[in-house]
Amino acid sequence: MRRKAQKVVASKIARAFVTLVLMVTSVFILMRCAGDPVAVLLGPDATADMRAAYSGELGLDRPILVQYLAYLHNVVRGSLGVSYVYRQDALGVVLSHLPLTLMLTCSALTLAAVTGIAGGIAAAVFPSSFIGRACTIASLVGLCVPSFFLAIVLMLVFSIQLNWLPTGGAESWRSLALPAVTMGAASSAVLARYTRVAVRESLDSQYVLAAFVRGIPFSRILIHHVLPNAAVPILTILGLLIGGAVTGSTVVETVFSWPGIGNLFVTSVGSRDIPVVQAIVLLAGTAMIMTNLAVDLGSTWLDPRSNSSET
Amino acid sequence: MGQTQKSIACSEGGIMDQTTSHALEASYVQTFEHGNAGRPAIAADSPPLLSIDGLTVVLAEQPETRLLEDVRFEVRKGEFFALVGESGSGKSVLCSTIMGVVSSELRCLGDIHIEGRPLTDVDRRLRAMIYQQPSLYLNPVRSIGFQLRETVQMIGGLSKREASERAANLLCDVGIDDPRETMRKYPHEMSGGMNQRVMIAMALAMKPKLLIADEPTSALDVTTQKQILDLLERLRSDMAILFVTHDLGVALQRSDRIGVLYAGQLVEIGGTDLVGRTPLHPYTRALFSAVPPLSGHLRRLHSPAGSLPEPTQRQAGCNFASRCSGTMEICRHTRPLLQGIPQQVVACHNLEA
Amino acid sequence: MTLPIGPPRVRTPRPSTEPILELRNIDFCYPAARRSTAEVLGGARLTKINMSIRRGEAHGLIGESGSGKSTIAKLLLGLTAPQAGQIFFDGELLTPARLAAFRLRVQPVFQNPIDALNPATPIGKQIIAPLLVNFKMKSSGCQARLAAAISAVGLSGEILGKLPHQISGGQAQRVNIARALILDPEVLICDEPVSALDMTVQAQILNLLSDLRESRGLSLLFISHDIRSVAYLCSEITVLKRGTIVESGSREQVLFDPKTDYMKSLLRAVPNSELGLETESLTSKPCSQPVGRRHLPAQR
Repeated sequence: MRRKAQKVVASKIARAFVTLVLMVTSVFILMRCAGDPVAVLLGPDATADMRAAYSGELGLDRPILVQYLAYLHNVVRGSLGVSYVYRQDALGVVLSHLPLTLMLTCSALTLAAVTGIAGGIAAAVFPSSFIGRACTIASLVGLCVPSFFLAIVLMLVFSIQLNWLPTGGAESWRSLALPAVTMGAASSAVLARYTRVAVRESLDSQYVLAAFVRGIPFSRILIHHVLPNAAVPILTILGLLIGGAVTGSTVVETVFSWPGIGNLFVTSVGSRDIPVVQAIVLLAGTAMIMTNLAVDLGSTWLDPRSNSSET
Repeated sequence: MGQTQKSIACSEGGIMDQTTSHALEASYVQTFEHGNAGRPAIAADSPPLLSIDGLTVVLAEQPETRLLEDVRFEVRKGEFFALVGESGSGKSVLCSTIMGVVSSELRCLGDIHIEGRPLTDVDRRLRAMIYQQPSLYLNPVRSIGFQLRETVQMIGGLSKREASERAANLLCDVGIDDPRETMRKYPHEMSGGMNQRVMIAMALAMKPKLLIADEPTSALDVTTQKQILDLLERLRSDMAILFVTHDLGVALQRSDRIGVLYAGQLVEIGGTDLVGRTPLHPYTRALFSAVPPLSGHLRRLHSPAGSLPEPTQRQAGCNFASRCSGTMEICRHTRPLLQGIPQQVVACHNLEA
Repeated sequence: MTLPIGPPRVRTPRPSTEPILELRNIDFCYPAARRSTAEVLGGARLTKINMSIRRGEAHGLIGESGSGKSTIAKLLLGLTAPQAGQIFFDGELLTPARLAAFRLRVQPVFQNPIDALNPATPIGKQIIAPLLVNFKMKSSGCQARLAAAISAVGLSGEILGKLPHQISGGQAQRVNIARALILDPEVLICDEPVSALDMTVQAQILNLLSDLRESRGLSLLFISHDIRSVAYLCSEITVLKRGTIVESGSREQVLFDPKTDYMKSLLRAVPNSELGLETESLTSKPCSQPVGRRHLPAQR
């Protein structure tokens, strides 16, 4: 069975690699569909010679397959073009904004994971108690309220009325609070709902009943019998949320003027800074594929039954 | 001790004349062999290990809906008591009640004593239960060894190595040849028979006095069933076994005493050889006639018309009245009580002398 | 495809010698991915299967789990194709072109009665579904056949509006049999039809199958691990072990004169069988019988 497990792992990694290649190719195709970059850059009153010269410089006059191969080569090397706006290496520009985004998304995710999973477990284990009911309602609210609305409400209450926290920017840790809570709220709600369902299903199962009847204490049942079985769906959702961590949330970053990648994405699209947009998309795609692979491998480890199923 | 007794046919629905439905309603009965040779004799005067008296289980919201009604019987140490009942008879509720894991929607009245002490005072370790589909009752994401060690360590004071050792011994006791290898496996990697052995090993880990087996072999093949039943017979000298089943053949072959449960009411209890030779209650006789015979003579199977009433549809009186051919007026409003000689009691107004 | 109109054809109730369904030299193996599960249960393939079911005959197939009995059911229903060998129906070789017509004449009854029904559709609609799907009839035109099917299985009209969760296991199995009968098939393939039912209900369904066989001249393939039910219902028995047939013959031959040790051990393992017990003595003692009116058992 161990060899079978290794084969399963290897095939999952191979599939992730194939997905990566497909994603990169799709970005190439989409970017070519985004319009003629030369026209964008030079404006409508450029002459044909200038356009031809610029095309040659950007390499747009070569056959498409050659362009594709050159593109792949560049992607692997990490040279994703030069930003039209910043006049620096596009990838460099994106990566320079990464720490701020990661700061925001990691704190938001940590908040979401802690509150969501704990809330979900509480709602599952004590469904009719006050805590349980409160968690269920809170998760419903968190799912329904749009993030920009929540952002503005929080800003109104905490920044403007109470003046505890700044409205935007990224000067101090206090400016992290509101954006993190806003981002965390929606993720927390999603996690709470899935956790509640998964834990409830595990609690209602016969193996938990059998363990209880054997006299095993409830705390031990929760940790060793319920949570491991509930872990796989929770991990999947968490994976999806983490996958989005790299780009952050464009809405939250824009509302709170948080200078991260989401903000950069919005401004770059507005200013037609194609290399930066491309770099962000590639980075986001890669992050999503990698986290999905990690989740996939994690669930293989958590649930030994998946080793015997068809790949 | 084998006998094939043929008497008179009683077809579905019953067309017997009321005057001839006698103390012993004649029905087409085939008795079964009872391989009782070599069984340990159970001292009749030893105090009962499990004693149930007047157990009634109702829905908490609707107390008129009775899932079990005035159930009373006893099981002694070393005894193999078979409780025969079909689905809806309340046998699962009975098992849950004895194990103390009744759903909050139900309310229990009556007394259950184990070793003379009421159920609430009894340590959980004295009773153990095994179930019908063992793979559902084992944690799918933990190895067999982990789950067995966990149960063994409940006794306390054992190091991990000692617990592993004891777990391996238990697996040997239940007939698993390669305990170390099995302990590394997961439930989905093993067959139903193996999983059932593991369940039995886990049940034995606590050294219980009472083992409740809720249809443990119904989902298994006939050869695996025989192996598991042989295993239970080997183990029973230290315990009392309450074996719940719908399979009359198994009950008659392996048990010392049989109780027949119909729609929440115990209708007949007796020593297996007695009940096997002369089943008294009409429902018991119906069960006998419903078993296809494995013999040269082909007779039509008989089964009473209608079906077991749901708990909400049960009226006062005998629950079998709607399907019985010997129903009298008294059957509809007064529940018959278990009466008879100590070795065989039956609840039927027709048989009251 | 023509719909058989009117009451079911009266076929000769006596079993004739010509087989209606036949498997010749069948080899079968599951595709690679699912083999591991099958191997855990101990049966991965079928080898050299030769089996024939005659008209009007009840043929029993005994085997333990993993022996391949459900695989044979799937082959006989045309749900899967063998790697080698042929299937003959009514004397003709079964080819993919003939499969659609074949499936109308061979119908299944499976093990879990309530699971075989759509939980959201009323019973009446489910029973006539094969007619609606195969012959594009309107549901108003099916009422006569529906009534006939319902009465053939001993149910009353009030069950037609109910949903599957409102009926018992025995009733659900009767519904399944009614649904199988509505196309007026010639063969019923029953894969453990009574294993999930209680003993008294089991007896009713076994009697029903026996009656249907006699009245309609149906051929039955009755697959079970329960030797008693097979012994009751079937006149011919085949025993399957790990994908090969180890014993085959008439009921009397297989039950009272088994040739293989496997069959002997199966008979020994049946709780309270009166046959095949060499170790326990069979002494019969006369017993006093109560006096009462004598009713003769139904003639077989």
